[in-house]
Amino acid sequence: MDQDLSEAMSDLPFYLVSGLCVGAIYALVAVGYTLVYGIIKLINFAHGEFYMVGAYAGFGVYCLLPASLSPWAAIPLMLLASGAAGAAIAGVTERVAYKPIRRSGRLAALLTAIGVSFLLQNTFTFVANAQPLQYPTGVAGSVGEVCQRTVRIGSDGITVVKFAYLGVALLFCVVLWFIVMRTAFGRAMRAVSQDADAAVLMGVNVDKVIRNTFLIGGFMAGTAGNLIALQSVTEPMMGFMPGLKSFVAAVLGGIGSVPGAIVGGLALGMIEGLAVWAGVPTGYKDVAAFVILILVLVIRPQGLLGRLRNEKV
Amino acid sequence: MTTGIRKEFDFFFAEGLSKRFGGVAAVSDFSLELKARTLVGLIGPNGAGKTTVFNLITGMERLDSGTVYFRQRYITDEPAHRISMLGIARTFQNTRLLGHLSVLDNVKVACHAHIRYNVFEAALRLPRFHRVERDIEAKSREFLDLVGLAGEQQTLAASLPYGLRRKLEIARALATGADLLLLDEPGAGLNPTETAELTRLIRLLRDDFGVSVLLIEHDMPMVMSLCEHIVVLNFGRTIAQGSPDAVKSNPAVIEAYLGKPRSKPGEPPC
Amino acid sequence: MSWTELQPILCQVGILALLALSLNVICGMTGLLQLGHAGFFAIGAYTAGLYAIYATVPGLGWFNVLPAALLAMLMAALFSLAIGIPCLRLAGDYLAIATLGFGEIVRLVLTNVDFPGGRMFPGERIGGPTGIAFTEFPGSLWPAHPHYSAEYAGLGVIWVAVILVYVVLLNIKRSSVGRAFMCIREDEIAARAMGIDVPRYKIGAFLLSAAFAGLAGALFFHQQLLVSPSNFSLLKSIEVLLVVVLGGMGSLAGSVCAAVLLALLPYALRHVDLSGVGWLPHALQKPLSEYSMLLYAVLLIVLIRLMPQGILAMKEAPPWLEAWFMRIRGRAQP
Repeated sequence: MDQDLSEAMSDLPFYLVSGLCVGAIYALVAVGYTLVYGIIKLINFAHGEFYMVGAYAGFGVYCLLPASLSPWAAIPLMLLASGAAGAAIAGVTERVAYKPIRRSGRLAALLTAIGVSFLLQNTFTFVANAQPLQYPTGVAGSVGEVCQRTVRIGSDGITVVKFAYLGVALLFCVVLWFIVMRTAFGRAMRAVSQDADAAVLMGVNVDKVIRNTFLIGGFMAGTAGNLIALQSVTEPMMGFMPGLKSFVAAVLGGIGSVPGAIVGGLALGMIEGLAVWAGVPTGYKDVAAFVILILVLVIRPQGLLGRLRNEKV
Repeated sequence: MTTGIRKEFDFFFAEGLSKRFGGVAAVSDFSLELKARTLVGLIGPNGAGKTTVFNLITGMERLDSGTVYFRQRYITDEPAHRISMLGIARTFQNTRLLGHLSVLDNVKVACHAHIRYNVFEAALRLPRFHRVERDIEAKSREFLDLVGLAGEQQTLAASLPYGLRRKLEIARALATGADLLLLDEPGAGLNPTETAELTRLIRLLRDDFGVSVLLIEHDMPMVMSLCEHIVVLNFGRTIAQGSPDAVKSNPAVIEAYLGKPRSKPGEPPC
Repeated sequence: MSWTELQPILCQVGILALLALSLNVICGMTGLLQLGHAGFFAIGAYTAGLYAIYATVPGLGWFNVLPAALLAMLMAALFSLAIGIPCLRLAGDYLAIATLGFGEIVRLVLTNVDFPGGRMFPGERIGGPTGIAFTEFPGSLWPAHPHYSAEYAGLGVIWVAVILVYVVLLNIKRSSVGRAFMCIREDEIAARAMGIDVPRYKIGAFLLSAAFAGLAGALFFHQQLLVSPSNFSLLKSIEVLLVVVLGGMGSLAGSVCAAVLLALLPYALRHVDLSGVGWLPHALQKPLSEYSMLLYAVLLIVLIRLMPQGILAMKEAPPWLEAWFMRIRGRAQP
């Protein structure tokens, strides 16, 4: 009995740290959801697919880079490329799919987002023939091998690259905070999220603000996708579950609130880690996210850090 | 919960209604007594809390404090749909029509409280369904006739011109079978001809249908000529009430609408 | 295409039509966007499947399908209370996401849970990711468990059900219940002001839509003789939603027509083959039916943009048909 308990306790740090790192990824993607929702009140179902596109772009760049390039140079390049790809696909999606139906109501927006999500998933399934891609670990010192290196925490090993998640997420959040709070563009973003029509009257180029918001969100999601792919697989459906879960994280923290998305992401990651540590079978791990979603929506729909809106009679 | 009612106010009685939104006192200590078959006006500058009073009476907003009795029933915390079934109906400042339904269907929906069949009888088209539907159809057409919309029965409500929309709102409120109608700025945006029609209609409602009407309006000639009794609100408080003449010359009322006079007091607000 | 090829396709069409009709009640008529419909479908199917294992009444033979279907409808309706009541206060996007979550929870739970073997095979546990496969006659050559048999219900039963459900729902639509649903869709506040108990009717919409989805599930099981969680994913919910949107939110006839169109689409596309087209990259040279998922996605996006009201909008017949009907009726009356 004692031995079980001490074993369990020595496992705990691993699950907590691992949960925190995954939570950082959820946070990165959740911020993208929340930014877009704050600006145009759209739940961008396709956001998980921006993540997936970024992962593919990163892999593509990896294939193009010379094999002799050190991972410390290669990985940042790949991340940059994946971010750029995520941003690009986000920008295109906004321009082609969302902008035309901006004034058509919530149902239209939701259905279009679902359609785009489908479209991206199936395009990549089609083209990539649904074969999952993995970074080859054969050569020591290559990107693949470096990213599989582990370090001991308690009695288990955690892949080192997961710490990079925290680092990158932290970096992005600082930069984002700076943009939103200290630049003119950030001010414009906050204005549009409060009252788009009034912002137009004050000379804000709302179209550009919306597009740039998508670009920022897409960049973060694309990078997140590549980060995960570094120690996992790249495949067309990889964005589906993380996308949904990040959305739950955004709702948990308060949809429309960036700090909320970060808090929600980290919280969701830790809750999942704890659930697995507590012995919940792996198949049910995903259920946790949806149960949290329903609980939040029923008990406190504005999330941890959000505010309730009321309709005027 | 008390049911001891003062006999003379056995139709409608509200006392001490109050509601705050955040830091703003929208309505403070509002009281009103209504007899049956009466026409009362509720006036005041914009933002005075008139629509909020309507919302409180009809159960759309929760009261912070106060009590409401209707026909000797304590209706203070009843949900909105119950209050509608008990006989208080209202129209909305910005018409809330069912755009994708026909004009006739809009009125039929209002007859909802009088439906006597259940979902199974509807699904299987049992005799009771047909009987009740025939009644509703007939009644609905009557109401449309009354307000002059008989020719527009199958038109989609969303394609009605403004004046007819307001008429439909009133027909709908009537169709609920209410004894007390709360009309929220029914004359807003109407031209003089339409306003005269509306005035006639409202009088008809009291005289022929026996309903009481509580009317929010900004059209002063209309209010002064229609209403037997007027209540004036400003900043959520009743600042005056009485007959039209009394209210017209009340200095507090004039000040509320026009501000402190620089020269002559005692002039009517419009 | 021969009849033996066409038959299962028409069965699929019927099931899809039932699903679309039931979703239309809550999405089209009541205006509540519900993305968890596959969950009720699953509950109905699994209920019928489990009934076949545990509770088949010996004397009834084929007519066991009837209590199975009723039980399926009941279970689906009960579960709809579990999701409907908490979601009463939610609107629009939030409701959509919550119901999506519910649908996923149902699927995930069904993927992981094992049911006891029951009378058919005591001691064994069944279920899980592969689901439960039955055979029509025990011991027959079928890639299914040789001991689990269930009754087969085919084309006739399914389409009789479609017609019955259509008539029932049409009657409801053209009654005060339907009007109340549509009033809630148009303006909830106006509904309250006219004496409609909105929470009660929202629950009613959930119950109705879930019950008929459960019926679809039971019939699906009895036609496929197979239940597996992969049939009941978010993809399915979205496919049904696409059918409802295509047919027109609020148009019951539209749902049936759109179901026919969408279910037949992959088969029609099969005859268009891009395999010979030289200027396409090799990877893209596939028969058009392989593109069908892609085409669904494009169809959804284009539809919303260009024809958001669907084929029949909220009516039961296209305007020219309605006008003809009116004229006939006019002539028939003195």
